[in-house]
Amino acid sequence: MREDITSGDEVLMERFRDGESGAFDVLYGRHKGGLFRYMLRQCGNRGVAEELFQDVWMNLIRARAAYTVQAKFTTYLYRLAHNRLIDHYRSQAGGMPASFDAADGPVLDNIEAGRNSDPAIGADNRQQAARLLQLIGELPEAQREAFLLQQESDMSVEEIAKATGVSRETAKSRLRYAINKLRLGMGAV
Amino acid sequence: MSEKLVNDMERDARLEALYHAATRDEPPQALDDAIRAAARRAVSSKPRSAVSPFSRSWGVPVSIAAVIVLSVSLVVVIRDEAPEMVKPPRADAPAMSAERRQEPVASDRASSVPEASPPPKPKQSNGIRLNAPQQALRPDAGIRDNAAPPSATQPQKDARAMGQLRPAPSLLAKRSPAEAFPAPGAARDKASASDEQPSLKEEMRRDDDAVGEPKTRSERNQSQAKATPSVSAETKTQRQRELEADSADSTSRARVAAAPESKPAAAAAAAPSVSGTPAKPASPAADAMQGYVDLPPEKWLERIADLRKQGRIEEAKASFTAFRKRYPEHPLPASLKDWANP
Repeated sequence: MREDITSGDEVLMERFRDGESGAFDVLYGRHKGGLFRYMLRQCGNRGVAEELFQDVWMNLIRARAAYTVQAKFTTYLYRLAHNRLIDHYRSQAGGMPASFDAADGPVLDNIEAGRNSDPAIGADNRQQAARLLQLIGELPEAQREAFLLQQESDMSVEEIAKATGVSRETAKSRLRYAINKLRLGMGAV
Repeated sequence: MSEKLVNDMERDARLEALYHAATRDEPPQALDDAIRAAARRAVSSKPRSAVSPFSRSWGVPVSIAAVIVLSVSLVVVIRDEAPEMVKPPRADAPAMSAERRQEPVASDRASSVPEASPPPKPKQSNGIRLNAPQQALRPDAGIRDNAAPPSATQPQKDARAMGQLRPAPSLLAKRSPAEAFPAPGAARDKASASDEQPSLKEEMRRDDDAVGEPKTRSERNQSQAKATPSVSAETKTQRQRELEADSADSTSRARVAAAPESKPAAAAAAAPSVSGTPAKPASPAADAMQGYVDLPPEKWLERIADLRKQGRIEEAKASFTAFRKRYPEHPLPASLKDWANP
């Protein structure tokens, strides 16, 4: 098994499609952490996160024959993840979260006030990190997803829009709203 | 808004640092192993492709072969079933169609006028049906039919005029020419028989009541003409035609028989009669012949009987003498037999 770490994700996926299992291993190794955390931060339950995580990879394996390079591999992977997450929400008693449908609220208000340009972290990083995770958990699902996609896969606004099936403006609005909320929350710390 | 600000609005370094400093959660190893194994199994099994190699190489030929087989089998099946599908013309179709044509006419006949006259011949039991539509139109239709050779189209014209249904042409066709166009004498004989048409009988009864029981045919006809002024011109025309036809026959015979004796007289008498204005008779014999020479024998005898009843004995005897000369063998009525054997 030749591990080609220099190959791009799209090439590896094509090689996996053509029957090279080693290419899948490389892909899996690159993206398993981010995808798992994406699922974990969204549903808040590790067991559910693992189940959803496994489902996403199995879907990818089953659909490998029809894979064609139309976008970045991460966009393709997190599109599968987003769809699986939506199915999970719909299967829940609460149904589809309203944040996915509602227009994003005022995101840019008081952006200056919430902005903390000082990258220095407080004395207790872990405490702040925990606080951040808490704040992330309190975000609406749609905004939270946007933030996580940015943080875990380093997606641009356009890629976030493609992965979530929304317009660029919607994706941007959601992301800004999330950042602003987190800043405000962290600023209180 | 500057690009930096936009970027800052969309990204936050501090938040990113904090986020990445948080617990870096990873999937369990077992899950990793399971997913990798699934991937290997998927790869090691028969490669899935949207289009299988078999389909790629044999798809078109197999499809073509299937179409050919289906087409051939369909053709064979249709060919085998074709004789059954194409029903041959039924042997009794013409008869059935004829019957069908008759049926509505029969039903119409059923609703025809009850006074419809029966056919002249009794054996025309089928003919009743045939004739009825023609005759179930007017009460006096029978007169025409019996008096003169009925035209094939006349009853139909009457039917149309009366608004009745006309008989099917096939019905007329079924009648023999002799039946369709009986001879004048035959028609007369039939009419005088007991199987005379009821409508005619009824009229005669009516006329008898009105006029006083005329006995002779001519009287009856005359009375009918009086009592039924509604007799159409066509009927009169028919009668006239009949009389003319009879007289034409009798005239030829009379001319041959009476040629040596009364030729001049006949010529003298005929000429004025032809012209339409009777000339003054020169002698009793000529007077006796006047007006009778063109009559048929029966009518001549009737005229003689009338003269006798009226008391014009001399004229009657003269006419009778002329008659006997002309028709020596003709049978005489009972009322005149005494003059035959004086």
